[in-house]
Amino acid sequence: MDVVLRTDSLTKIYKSPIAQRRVKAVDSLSIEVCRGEIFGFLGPNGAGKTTAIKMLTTLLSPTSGKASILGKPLSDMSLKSRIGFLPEQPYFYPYLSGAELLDFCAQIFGIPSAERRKKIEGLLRIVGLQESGKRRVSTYSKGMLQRIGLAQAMVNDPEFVILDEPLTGLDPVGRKDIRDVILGMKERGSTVFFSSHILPDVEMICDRVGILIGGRLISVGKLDELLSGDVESIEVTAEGLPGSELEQMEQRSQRILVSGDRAMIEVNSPDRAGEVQRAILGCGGRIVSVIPRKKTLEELFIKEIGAHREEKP
Amino acid sequence: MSRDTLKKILTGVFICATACGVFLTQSSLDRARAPREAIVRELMYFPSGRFMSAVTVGYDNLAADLVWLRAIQYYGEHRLTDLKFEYLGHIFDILTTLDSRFINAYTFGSLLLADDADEPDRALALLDKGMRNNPHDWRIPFIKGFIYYVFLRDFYRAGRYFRISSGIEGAPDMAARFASFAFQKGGDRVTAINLWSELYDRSNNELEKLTALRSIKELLMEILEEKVAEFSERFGRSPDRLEELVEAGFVQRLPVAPDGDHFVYNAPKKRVEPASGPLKVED
Amino acid sequence: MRTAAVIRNTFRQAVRDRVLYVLFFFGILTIGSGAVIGPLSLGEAPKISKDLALAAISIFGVLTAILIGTRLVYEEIEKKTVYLIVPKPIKRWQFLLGKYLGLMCVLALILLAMTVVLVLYVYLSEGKFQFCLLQAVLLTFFELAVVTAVATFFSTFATPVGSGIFTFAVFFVGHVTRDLRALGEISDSVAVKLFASFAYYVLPNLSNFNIRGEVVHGVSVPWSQLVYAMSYGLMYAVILLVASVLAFQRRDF
Repeated sequence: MDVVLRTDSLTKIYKSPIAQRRVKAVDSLSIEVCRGEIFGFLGPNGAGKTTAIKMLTTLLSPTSGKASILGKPLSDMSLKSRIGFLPEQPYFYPYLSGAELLDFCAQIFGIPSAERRKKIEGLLRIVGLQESGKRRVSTYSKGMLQRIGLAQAMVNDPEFVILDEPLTGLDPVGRKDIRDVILGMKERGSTVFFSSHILPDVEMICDRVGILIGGRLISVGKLDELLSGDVESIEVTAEGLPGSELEQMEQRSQRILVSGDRAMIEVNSPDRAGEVQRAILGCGGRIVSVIPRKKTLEELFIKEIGAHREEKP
Repeated sequence: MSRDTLKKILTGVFICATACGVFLTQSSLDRARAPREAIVRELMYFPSGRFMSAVTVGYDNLAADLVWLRAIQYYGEHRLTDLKFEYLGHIFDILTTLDSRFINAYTFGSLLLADDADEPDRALALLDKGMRNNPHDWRIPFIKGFIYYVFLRDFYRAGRYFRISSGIEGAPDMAARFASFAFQKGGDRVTAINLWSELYDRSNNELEKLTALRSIKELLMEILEEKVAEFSERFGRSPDRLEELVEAGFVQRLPVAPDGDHFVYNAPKKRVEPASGPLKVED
Repeated sequence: MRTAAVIRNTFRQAVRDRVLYVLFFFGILTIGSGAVIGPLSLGEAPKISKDLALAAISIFGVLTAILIGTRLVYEEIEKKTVYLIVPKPIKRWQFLLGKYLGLMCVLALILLAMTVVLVLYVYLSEGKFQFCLLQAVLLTFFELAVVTAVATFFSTFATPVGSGIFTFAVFFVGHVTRDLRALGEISDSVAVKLFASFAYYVLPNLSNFNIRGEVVHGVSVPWSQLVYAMSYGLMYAVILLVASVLAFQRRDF
């Protein structure tokens, strides 16, 4: 297992001089991210995700703990040439055009001028901004800002990409596009580490997730594993059921939703589901669909947050 | 009319009334402060030069230029009104503290002080300051000699300073010549006229030129009047025209002022006058 | 080189800043106004024009240095554009130096443009080319190097308004340090003496860069004096930049 990111009890404590309080923004964070995976870093607002990411990108210095990326310490300059970073709510030099911004970033990476032009054209195409490359960044919409931000994170063909809330504030089409770009990165062999609180997107593309609440890592692991096991319920949707049959079924099920000729019957075990299906077929009804509902990430998430709140004094 | 319209009208009236009030109050204030303001305006720019240097933060030369412009204004105002130049010395003192290399400030200032303000001592003090700050400039000791000669009639000292001036590198020959004139003849009007002519020729300063011109004409008229008196004594009558003086051999030729003006004899008034008309105060 | 990228970027930012054009316009206007004052000055027009022009070059240079310099670093932090820079393979000191040099390039350009106007004006009105005017502008440039370094230093931790006030105060005191030192010598109070010495040796002695008086009166300034002044400016700016880097290095964003 090739570990790309490793942190060891990474901690950030803020001392507020006025309030004389110490705030642990990140508390002993220890995680590993393996090569080639997409790792989702989740948590509610204020959980410390951005603080952790800032430490990884040397914007903040940790109070204690260690971390390394690609086997190198965080401040190593050759390391910084191999990683890409998209900050949360990116703000760029408004007087530059999109292409000029990418050119500036490329210059900082030391990419020679011959390569730069082709690369920038390519990047603009990947993020869907080929028409807007010449316009000033101050004219960009929020979605376009996220895209150009993503482009600058990819200028150096990074092995490891850190994205802070890359999907926030985008419309559904925008989110799909960005998700596709991230998947594209994985295909090209990069490792992606991104933070989000939009769970459906995380469910769609991440291999592993870590949940951060109150600065502490609550759970981490493969998505399937975290959500596996218990099938919460099964929804059987049927058509053409006589009313009498429905009443009977109500007793055996958790709930029934009726809409016109269709009924959605929710049961809490596969056995019960089997019973219901046989009953439907027996009375001449038609089975439209049988959908098992696993625990969603959202439910896991809310459960963990609730548990954390109870813990706090 | 509706309430809205009424409100708008009342607001408009209120604003107008307040504006008038502001204007009237300001006028009253102006009137009340007027007498003191006059003094303040006179003294504008005129606290100590040393203090001003701290305020001008490295832009002393520019400040000096502003004071120069103000000085000209001050001189002009008082020349047309009360002919009292109380602060002239102070102004030029500040000017030369701000820019100690401003040669023309020393020379022109001392000229005004000696002539119009009738403060020759102050003029000399200003020139001393100039020589201290600019020991290698020939013009300042020259003007000092000039003032001794023309205004103070102290020919010995005049000669001394002309000689000092001639010893400085870059001094023109005339400095040495005037030194010897001063030592030898002393009191010679011709020398005085020549001094004023030098000033007239060299100066870029219109006011200086006008002052020089006026002095030259006055001196020429004095000489001519003397000759007219001699003529009258010899022939028992005043000449009809100044040309008669030439014919009779009292002067070789009639003098012409540097601006081309020549002189005529005004028989009824029994005096010599410039052809362009009597010398006015404003000249 | 990575610093060069930052220099170019900073230059571009300043050149697209409208404040610059307003200042430049007024600078040229001031130089030109010498022609208007001429008739009123009783023959001193050449001197007054040159005084005005040199002062304008200095004042507008200082204003530009303060107005843009105090926002230089602060805006990067405030607007979070540092988030683009720090994670990339560029050292923090390279970034800071790049910002400073970028602004110095802008100032050099402004000074050059205004000097060309001045030299042309003198040539057209007096028919001669005065080399010593260029010497005065050269020293003004080094004065600006110091003032910009002061502004940059304050910009690493203070808001633009605060930095502006501090920098202007340093500029003001920097021009009267000689008088303060004299004051310290004649005063009996220990406090005054200490303050005067502090001001003279610690704060930048900006009167070192002022040869306008000599130049306008045609007094030649020996090259050794110019070299000393330029070295002083250079060393002082370097000290301030090092301090700025130290302040910037340890900062959490």
